[in-house]
Amino acid sequence: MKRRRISAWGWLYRLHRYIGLAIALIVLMLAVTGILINHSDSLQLSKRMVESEFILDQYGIKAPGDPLGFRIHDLWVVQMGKKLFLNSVQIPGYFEPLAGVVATNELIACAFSRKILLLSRDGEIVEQIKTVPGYIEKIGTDRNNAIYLATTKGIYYSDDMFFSWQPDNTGDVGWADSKTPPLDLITSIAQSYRSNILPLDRVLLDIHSGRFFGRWGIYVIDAASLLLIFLAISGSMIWLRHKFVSVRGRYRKRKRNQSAL
Amino acid sequence: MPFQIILFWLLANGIANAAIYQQPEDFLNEALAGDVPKASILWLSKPLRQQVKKVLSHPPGFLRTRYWKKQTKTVWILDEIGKTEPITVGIVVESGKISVIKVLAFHESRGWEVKHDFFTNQFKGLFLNSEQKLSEHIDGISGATLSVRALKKVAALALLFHNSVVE
Repeated sequence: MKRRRISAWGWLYRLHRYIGLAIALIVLMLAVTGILINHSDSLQLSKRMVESEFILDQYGIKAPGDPLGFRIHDLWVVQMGKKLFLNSVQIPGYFEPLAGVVATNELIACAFSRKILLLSRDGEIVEQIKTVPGYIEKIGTDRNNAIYLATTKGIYYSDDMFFSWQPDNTGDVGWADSKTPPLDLITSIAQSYRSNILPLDRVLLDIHSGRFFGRWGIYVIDAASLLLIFLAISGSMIWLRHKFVSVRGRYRKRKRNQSAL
Repeated sequence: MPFQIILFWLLANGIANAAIYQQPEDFLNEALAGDVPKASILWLSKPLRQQVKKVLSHPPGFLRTRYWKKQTKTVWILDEIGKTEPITVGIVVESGKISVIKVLAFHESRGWEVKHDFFTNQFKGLFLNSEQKLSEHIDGISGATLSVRALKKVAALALLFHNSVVE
């Protein structure tokens, strides 16, 4: 049986068809992620955080080890990296390492090197006190509930809710000591820590560029882009050929009709 | 692996760029000529919270703030996030107008140019108009848009707080 010879145009048709099929999924992915990235602001994608364990693992995002914990009655103030938690509720903002935590009459005072953060028992920030004497190393209380600070400039106390500080080296102070928080609390905080780092728009950009799939992902997207360019050219050529054939056909038909008359 | 490097670089860069230009207590001493009165507390009532939200374009992250008052002068030490980190600003308001504004601490990786006098001098003499906005336009700094915005918000906030405590 004689094998049918395929013309150059036939090859182009076939290539156009099969390349189109082969990169259909990638084009779909590029189109969907592209539309989402275009509307990133209105969809607030930079504020939506990825919670998927699989994706967070792909990015190598881990919760820092050795969380610092301070127990205040039935509550735990835990610092993990630069984030602060009251039980498992995250306090907005990023913080320097905790120097200590003590309970005042109604509030929780968290001391950092240059400020004291006052929290309600619901985890709401009541106030940030930035006028403190020196760099804070420790915070504690005495039996009269006066607040003491051990600073680089010496020991100071305040018995008027942090309005003024007096030097005092004689007080019988119980300094705040860090403790290891319970394991279930650490697990829950670690989960919360991880799920508040990676914004959704970052992942979409990485999927769109192929970076999400590793080093080879970029080359796959590059290849798909080159094939798309080929499809655009081959598609145009095929359309032009069809157009030319149909115009030529109409012209010949008209010519035949004229000669028949 | 590249993501870990990027994250590490971002964290390292953020920490490396943290700068403290003046301690709050030094600013207070300077602003009040060494005679610092006892601090007062301003609680954010519901109507005031609404006004603060309008000025900052987000709810305030605190329930109260302290300030120092001496005759017609009030001094405020306020924080506002530039992009991701807080910028600490000291502001002196005198008779409803800004007399001093100074960046005390800057933790962002970009936009530190707002600390310079050529920028902060623009705020001197500004007050809040009837729309609760700064009375004059502030020229921006290219590459420091978010820090400029943060300083404008903090300046308006200090004026709003000043007006609410002297009324």
